[in-house]
Amino acid sequence: MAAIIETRGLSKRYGKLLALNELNLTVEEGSVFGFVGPNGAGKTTTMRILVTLLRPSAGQAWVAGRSVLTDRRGVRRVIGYMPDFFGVYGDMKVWEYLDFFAACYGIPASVRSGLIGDLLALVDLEHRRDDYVDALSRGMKQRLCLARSLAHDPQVLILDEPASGLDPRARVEIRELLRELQQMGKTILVSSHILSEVEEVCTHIGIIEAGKLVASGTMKEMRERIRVQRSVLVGLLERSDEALTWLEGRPGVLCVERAVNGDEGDLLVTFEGDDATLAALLQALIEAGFPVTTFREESGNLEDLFMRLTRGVVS
Amino acid sequence: MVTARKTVVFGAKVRGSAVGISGPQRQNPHSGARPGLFSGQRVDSVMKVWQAARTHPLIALELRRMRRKRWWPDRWVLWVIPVVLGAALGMAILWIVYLLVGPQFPTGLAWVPITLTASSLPMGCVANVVGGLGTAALMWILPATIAVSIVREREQGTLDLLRVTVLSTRSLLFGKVGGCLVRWWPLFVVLVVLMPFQLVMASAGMGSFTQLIGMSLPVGGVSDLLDMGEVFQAGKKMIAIAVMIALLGWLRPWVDIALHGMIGLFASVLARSSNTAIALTYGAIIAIRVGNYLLNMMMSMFMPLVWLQSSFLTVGPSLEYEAGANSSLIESMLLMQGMITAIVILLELGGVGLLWWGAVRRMERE
Repeated sequence: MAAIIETRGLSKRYGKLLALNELNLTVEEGSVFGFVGPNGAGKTTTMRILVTLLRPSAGQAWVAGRSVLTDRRGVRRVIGYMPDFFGVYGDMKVWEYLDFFAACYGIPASVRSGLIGDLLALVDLEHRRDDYVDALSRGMKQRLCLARSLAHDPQVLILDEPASGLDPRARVEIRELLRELQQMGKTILVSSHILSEVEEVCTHIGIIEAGKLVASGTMKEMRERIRVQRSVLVGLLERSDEALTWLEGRPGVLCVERAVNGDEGDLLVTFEGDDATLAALLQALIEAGFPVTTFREESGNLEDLFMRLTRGVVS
Repeated sequence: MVTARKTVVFGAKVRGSAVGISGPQRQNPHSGARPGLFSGQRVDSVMKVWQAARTHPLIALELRRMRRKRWWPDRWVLWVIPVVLGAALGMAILWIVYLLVGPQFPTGLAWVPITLTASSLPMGCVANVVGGLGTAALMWILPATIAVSIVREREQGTLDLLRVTVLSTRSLLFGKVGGCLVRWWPLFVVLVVLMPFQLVMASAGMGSFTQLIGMSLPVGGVSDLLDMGEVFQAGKKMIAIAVMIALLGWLRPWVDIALHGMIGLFASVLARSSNTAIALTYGAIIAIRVGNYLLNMMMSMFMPLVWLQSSFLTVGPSLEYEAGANSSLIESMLLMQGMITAIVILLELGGVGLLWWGAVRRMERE
């Protein structure tokens, strides 16, 4: 599939702070790309550059083949943007809000009324059509914002933290909406600082930290990456301090640390290698006389990978 | 379980309506079209601006808000009546004093100005005061509403949403300013109705009251040197000069309004909070007014005659006697006044253009 969003060497500097450091990001057409990273990693900056609200200090970016530097209006026409806050005029009714933004996209009045009905049906807000925007719940406002970003039928949706601050039910609703939109053929770039929020809907994941993309790929690739790096929980009756230093030098062991939420004396070993090496490690551990109570591979999930990546264990 | 059911319902709905919105197979027929708005091109005709204003979403939004909210003023506004009447009375007294001690009418046409002035006196005074207060309101209150217009959107978080639409920066600013202007439409109607009065007053130097309130100090009018009868007697050239001075004197407050409004707009684009924007706007406007006043004072040092007869209504007569004999001297003095006003207007228009350009550029460079 073709890349619909592409950035090359994208950098943004605010005074001394380097918010984006030569970011190279590729989002394929039709994918749901989860853009994950801790707060302040540069997600919002990247998105604001992609929607032409911000100019990069260096580098290039294209959306649907249009450069965000030279063809800003062209980019605006193909993207729908939802910022990380509710941008709503409180003194407007729901339909007026959509009507206003549709008008700002140059959609003629004759088309707008039908369009508003469709948009409200899509985000399930038909029954609130004549209510004031202020009277909506948080989740409903968020859905209304999503409807607004769809007013001009954009190819690409750029959603900044769409699920933040929502209750679980509203989150699920947003997630379902994203699925529907993907089925309609939209490409969605969605950011989050919590990976599990986007994990279920995304086809691709990119992890960003300190302005750099530390990992990126399809969900399958990312899961395989987890499998390469295995996490083994080693429980010891005693002498865990000694075991910690002993384990660190063994073949295949990348890193040893105390398990955060295990029993006292539990160690978490990050391990790279096949099953034979793992068996050899256990054997050596016992031969060295350590009182092993547990030796269990933790089933890795993306959250672990995310935690490891964003602490700079892998880069 | 709830979730699953929700999904199904939702899916059904979407499939029912998806055709209307999207799907890769269906292109929105408008996604490629250039919007029929004020779209970044140089405006070369009034009609184009009018068309842009009529169809502009931001202005339509403001009108819709106005229709919803009660736009007519509350009872407290009645205090305007004593103010207007009091000021009109003051004007009338000044005018009477002027007529009594003022111009002698040596010619056979002396009855013309007396009758005209006397019959139009009450209406003229009210018109002048209402016009003056209205112009002053536009000069001093309108900039504040413009100053908060954009920065308020920024504070609400809606500015970004507007900026990612296909509205150009110019169109966005145009719409915001237009939205502020339409709120004042009753006043604009009043001022258009009063325009003939204001033209006459400007020609007579009676714009003084308007301009005094607005702190937009006048450079004088015809009547301090000549009365209407004398103007007509003096011939075509003098009439042309009188008309020019009338137009310029009438134009001046409007250019001031435009300049003040643009200062508000620039401050609104620059500032990050409403308070800063308002402080910036008033700071700049007051600075300009004080500067303008000082400039007038300075000019008066070089042109004592111009200053003397422009300083207030009653100084005129004595001068007139000295200059009256020499009509070419009067002509050249009036011409000079006209030129000075024209130069001030051009300078201010330059400022308007510069501020507009700066606001657009600043917004685009963000």
